[in-house]
Amino acid sequence: MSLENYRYDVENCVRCSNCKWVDYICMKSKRFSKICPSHTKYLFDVYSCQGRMDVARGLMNKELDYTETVLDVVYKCTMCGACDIMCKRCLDLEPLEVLETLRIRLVEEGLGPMPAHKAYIERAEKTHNVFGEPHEKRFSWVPQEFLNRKDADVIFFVGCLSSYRSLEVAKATLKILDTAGVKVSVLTDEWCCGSPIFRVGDLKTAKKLMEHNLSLIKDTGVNKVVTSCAGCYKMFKVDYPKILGEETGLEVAHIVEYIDKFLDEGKLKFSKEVNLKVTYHDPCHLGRLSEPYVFWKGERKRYGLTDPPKKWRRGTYGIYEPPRKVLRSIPGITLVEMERIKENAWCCGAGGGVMAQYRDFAEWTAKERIEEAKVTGAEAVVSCCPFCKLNLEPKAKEAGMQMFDLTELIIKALGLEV
Amino acid sequence: MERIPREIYHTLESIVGSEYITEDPVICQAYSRGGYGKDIYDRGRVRPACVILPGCTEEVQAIVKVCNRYKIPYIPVSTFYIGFCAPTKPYTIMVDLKRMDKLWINEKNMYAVVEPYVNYAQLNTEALKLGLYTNAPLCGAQASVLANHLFQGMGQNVWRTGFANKRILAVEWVLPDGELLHLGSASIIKDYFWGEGPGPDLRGLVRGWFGHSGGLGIVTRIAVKLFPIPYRGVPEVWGVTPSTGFSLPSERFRWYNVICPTLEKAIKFMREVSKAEIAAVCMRIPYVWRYLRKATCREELWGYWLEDKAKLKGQIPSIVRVAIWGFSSEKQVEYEEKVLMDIANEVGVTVKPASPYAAGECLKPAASVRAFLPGGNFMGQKFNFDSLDHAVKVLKSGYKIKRKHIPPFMDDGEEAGWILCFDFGYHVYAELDYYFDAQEDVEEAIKAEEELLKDDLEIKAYPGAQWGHLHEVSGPHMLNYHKLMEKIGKTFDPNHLSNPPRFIGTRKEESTILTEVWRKICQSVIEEEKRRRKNS
Repeated sequence: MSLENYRYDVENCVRCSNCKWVDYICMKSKRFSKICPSHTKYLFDVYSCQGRMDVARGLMNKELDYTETVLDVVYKCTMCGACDIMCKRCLDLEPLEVLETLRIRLVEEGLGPMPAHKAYIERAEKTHNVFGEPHEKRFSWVPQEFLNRKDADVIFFVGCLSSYRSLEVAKATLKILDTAGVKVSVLTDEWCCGSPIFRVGDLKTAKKLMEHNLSLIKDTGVNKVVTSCAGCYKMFKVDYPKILGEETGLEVAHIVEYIDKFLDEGKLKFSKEVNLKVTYHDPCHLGRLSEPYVFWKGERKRYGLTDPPKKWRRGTYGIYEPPRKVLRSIPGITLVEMERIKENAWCCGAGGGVMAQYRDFAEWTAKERIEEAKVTGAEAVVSCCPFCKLNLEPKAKEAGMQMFDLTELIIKALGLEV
Repeated sequence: MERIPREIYHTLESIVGSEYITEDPVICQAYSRGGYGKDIYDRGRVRPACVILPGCTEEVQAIVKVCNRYKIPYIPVSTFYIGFCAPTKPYTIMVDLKRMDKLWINEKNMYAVVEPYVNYAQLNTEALKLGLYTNAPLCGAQASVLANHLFQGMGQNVWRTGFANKRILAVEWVLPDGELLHLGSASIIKDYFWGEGPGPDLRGLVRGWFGHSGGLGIVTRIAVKLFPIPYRGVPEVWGVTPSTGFSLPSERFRWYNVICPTLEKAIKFMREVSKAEIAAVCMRIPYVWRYLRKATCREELWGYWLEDKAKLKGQIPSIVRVAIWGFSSEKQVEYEEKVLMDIANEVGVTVKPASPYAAGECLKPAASVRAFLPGGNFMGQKFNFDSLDHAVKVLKSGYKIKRKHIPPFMDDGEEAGWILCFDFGYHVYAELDYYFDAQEDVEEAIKAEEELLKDDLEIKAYPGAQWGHLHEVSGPHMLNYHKLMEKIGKTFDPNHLSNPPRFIGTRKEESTILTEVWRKICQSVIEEEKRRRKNS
């Protein structure tokens, strides 16, 4: 992944500023009309996708040196991909891949990632999780019968956050799968999926983790993987093939896709009312960035035509409807929408290593989202990602709102406990 | 890039606070190029020396005064895109106005007051909630309402809303030397409801056909007219990116594509619609935009277009987009639709219902940037304002020039281009676009631009595109208007610091403040300041 490979994309940013606003057609108010957390908070244009394209161009053309400010600009971004999808409403460019490559380049130059990132990467290398917790603790909550199950049909890839910090999500997911009759297995040698590490540009370490996980899963002979974390989901579905350069051969699903299917098939039936007015927060990695990776190796010809023709991931086929359909099907739930939804969703603020390195920025971004949620009149915010929950929950509480992962509401509606 | 002397930098910093000013080259890099017309209108660009973000008019004034005291060039920027805002002079300060983003709507009196960083998407979103709207430019709803009103202010809705000059009410304007000037009602009662004030109307200076592009100071607040629309609310959105839209109730809003076999028939049809004084929108759209709008990628655009172009065998129809809105009642829609059909029958053109989701693109254009899809860059030329007949004359003549450049320009099969009528066809705008490779055809595009302007002069078209170096070409043919602009520039901006070399690039004697000269001037001012402070 060389920055030079993206010269066309960088040079053909037309400075239209589509990367800064929600789709104009979808705009519902001036108050919630912006889409880029970084640009909204830090104001200078360099903190927008357009500005970062200029920085990339400056670095490639040696007009700029690699300075502390370059690091600041590149890493004060949640990598939510809103800019990428908004740009692609009109243009055939790959802005998010440029941002990813900029980070990889900074790591290669020995400048990145940032100190907090380096710390969690070091922990992940030692203990296979970003928290530095003992590896054994990762699966200590899992009932024995689900560990390394021989007759499994599906592997539940739990992820670091759910294993160590958001156990309620992990337990709920396992319970739902079991209730639906899925022969589900949790692998005791699961390592961090690599998402927080790749997201900050450490390709080398991320690859080690990815190769381990992939080999581990393949050895089981099971090719279905389900996650409850949007970050792990996107990593397996999109970034594993992209980084490893080949299809993984895995069928990757998020738990919400399974729940949707189980409800249709009658494998799950709700028995309890959950009387709650909720609003749904689309996780970036489950929504606009979740389309399967499309391999393309070619070149730009005249007029910028791609040869062979490239298929673009524009966020059209993100997982937008299943969580909404599932929520609406829960007895007692009233779903009210925020203004910025689906491909136009405002990021929770946790991604791209921001929560670790720039706590104030992460909190500011979450506060902005909760203010939007509050306007709907909802009592609770629901999401499908433990990272989103972790970052949004404190601000939700401050605003007098509750925060749930969707799996928790499913457990309630099924009349179960975890 | 040389740093601004510390004394000056700290003075600027004291105006806005350290959070809102920077001279870091990485941050300044993001302000070092233009938008539309990239590598064309921003030639000779340099990285600015400093970026500053004022939060209010007083801060803008103070910044401009400092710039004048020390002879530093400054450039105001807001939402960007079509920008003649790339710095070309050493030590340029970019005045980024995005902290100034207030919007007030006066529902009863149907106008909005906006600061520079309010865009059309925001304004029309909020206005629609109150049953109001305004025109939105075809370059996209991300454009600054304020900046665009200082320009032509064209778009689909100008059929009714008219040219931008008619929509501007009161204005707050920081002159190039930092003096504050209020125009219209704001000049005496600090209320923005009306554009006329005591004495002469200076709105002709603050705006223009191509505006002053920040070349005559910084407009910090402007009131613009809003118009009634028979809808009140937030329309429900259809679709998902990149195909989104919204419709408005069909009892009051109808959309049509009128397929005309020839350009002449299209013009005849538009003229009759104009005479009948019906419709809310009536404009000719280049045929290739049907493909640009629908294509899912560049390759698909070229594939479908080339296939269909071959089938059409050179007989590219003229498409006229019409909207009928029932401003007063549903009966108005029925009546106007009948008139429209009668006209179509008489003229011999076909009226087809268009997607109701055209409403979204009309009020908040989101697909405009697709103009870059065919080749990576495009240019619009001609920009003539006169009548329907005149539009045909200039576009057809321009087409002959454009033809010579195909290839390398994309063959869009167009013998004309965009034709937009203002005030029910009272006057008409013509624009000829060409699409080209962003890397390889830039020189060709610049050549074509000059040829097209010279063609305007030759056929005595009114008045022909003018900006940048083109003033030099067109000025001598048009009463030496550029000399008048030079005088205006010298009067208001004696130091030529407001976005040089814009407003009028022929001010050569001042347009280049050489580094050495500037440094000497600057140092002497600093010394003088020091002496003054010591004495006081």
